[in-house]
Amino acid sequence: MLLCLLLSFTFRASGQNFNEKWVIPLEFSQGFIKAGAAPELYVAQLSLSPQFRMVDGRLRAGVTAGGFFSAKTLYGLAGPKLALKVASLGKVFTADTGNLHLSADYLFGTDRQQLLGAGFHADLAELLILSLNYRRDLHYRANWFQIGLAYHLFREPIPKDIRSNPVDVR
Amino acid sequence: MKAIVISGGGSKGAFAVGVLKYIHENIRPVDSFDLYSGTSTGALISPLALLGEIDLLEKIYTTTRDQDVLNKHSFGRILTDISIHDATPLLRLIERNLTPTLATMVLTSPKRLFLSGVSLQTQELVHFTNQPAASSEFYRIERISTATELQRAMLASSCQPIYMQPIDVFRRGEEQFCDGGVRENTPIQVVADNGATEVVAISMAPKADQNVFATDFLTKATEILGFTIDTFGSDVGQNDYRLPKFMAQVNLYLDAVKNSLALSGVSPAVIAGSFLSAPNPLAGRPLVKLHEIRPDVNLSSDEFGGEGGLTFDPARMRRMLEMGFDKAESYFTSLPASSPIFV
Repeated sequence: MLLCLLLSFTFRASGQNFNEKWVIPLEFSQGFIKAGAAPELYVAQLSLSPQFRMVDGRLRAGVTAGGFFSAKTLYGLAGPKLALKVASLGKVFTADTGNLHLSADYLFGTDRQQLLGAGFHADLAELLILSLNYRRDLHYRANWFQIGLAYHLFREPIPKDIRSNPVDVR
Repeated sequence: MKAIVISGGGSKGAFAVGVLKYIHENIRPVDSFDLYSGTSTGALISPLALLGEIDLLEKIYTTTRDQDVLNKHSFGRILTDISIHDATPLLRLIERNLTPTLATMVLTSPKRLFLSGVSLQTQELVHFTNQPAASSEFYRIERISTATELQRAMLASSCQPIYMQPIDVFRRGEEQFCDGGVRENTPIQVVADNGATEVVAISMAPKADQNVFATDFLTKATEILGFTIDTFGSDVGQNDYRLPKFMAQVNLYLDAVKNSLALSGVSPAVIAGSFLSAPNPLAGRPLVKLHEIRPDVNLSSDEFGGEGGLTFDPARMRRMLEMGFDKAESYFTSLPASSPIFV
């Protein structure tokens, strides 16, 4: 139901970005883990999230892979991810300045963590992404709160030369 | 010789197609002119106008959407890529409509075509042509000889720098070209230099005193930058008319002088010898009439083609096309029946 509402909203939101065939943002995030009455634990995470276009200008799907540091220990994590564009930011000279999008992921850690989460992201000019993420560790029954900054490390480039379809018989 | 010249303007080219439609249906077949010249959207229209493909032009300029022209991206691309948007869809649009068969008809036509671009390497104004012509102090002529070169010249002429990639027209890896509107938005001079006596010039911008950029005070640097770019563009557009208009006035004046001398008994041989000798800067440039057709309102507003004419909306383009048709009707019906354009 929520997905239907979001889709109906996003299909009204016109925009120019979120239409690359693929992007690979590199994200650094930090925050804390809260499990019951235990003290909060600092967590820092570095991850790559290659994503591929599913619906032009609306929906991307991909995976997240990386690691996090908490309680003086390094862990790995990986899992699937979805990103849904919900709004475009303003325009400068006919070009969008960015977009707002939501994400959902399900990440598996190397120490049996099972993180089911969602995030809210502001993609600024297809360069930087500011993120706010919440995840629930289903295995350890802990809540993760993180803020992050991502950079579009790789993405489908604009071709420097546009190739013609071959028509000439020289 | 009669010429049609069409300025740049993106989706606002629908206005020019409306003007051509009126001319085709009421004045003379649009493929009965001798010279065709265009910049940007004018370079997309001119080859099809040369072939008389008015129905196809009307279809293109009333059905094309944003995604048929550009893969649009965000402003941040200016820091990481060759352009903000990707014009690949526009080349595909050109290839679908100016097919190899039609392109060959353009290349082998006795009618002359000039498409303007600007070289990124030399900053020269370059006219791509289907027939030999002479370069001048102010522009270079580049002959195009294949369908692909013609399609790529049309694309290059349309690619607004920064927004769209520059184009290597000849695929030699030596020179890139961008929108001719950087230096000449309404390329009249080249047809005047190549023997045009009467020119129908279609511009997508209203006259300077009708072109209101903003009614409110500008309070943001980006708005003032927009104003600056718009003013540069308007100035280029106004300058395009100055010299051809002056040439036409001088030619009319010289004709009057010749007639006066003839009436005074000076022999035709003496008159001809006096005015057609080598130092005459207007020798071979017989332009005497410039029909200037423009909209009365700013078509760059969000109501029509948007900034740079980069909004392709079929309904708005239909309105601009009808506006062009109406404008042409009011202009040509005000001319005397003896006007040479009707002959």
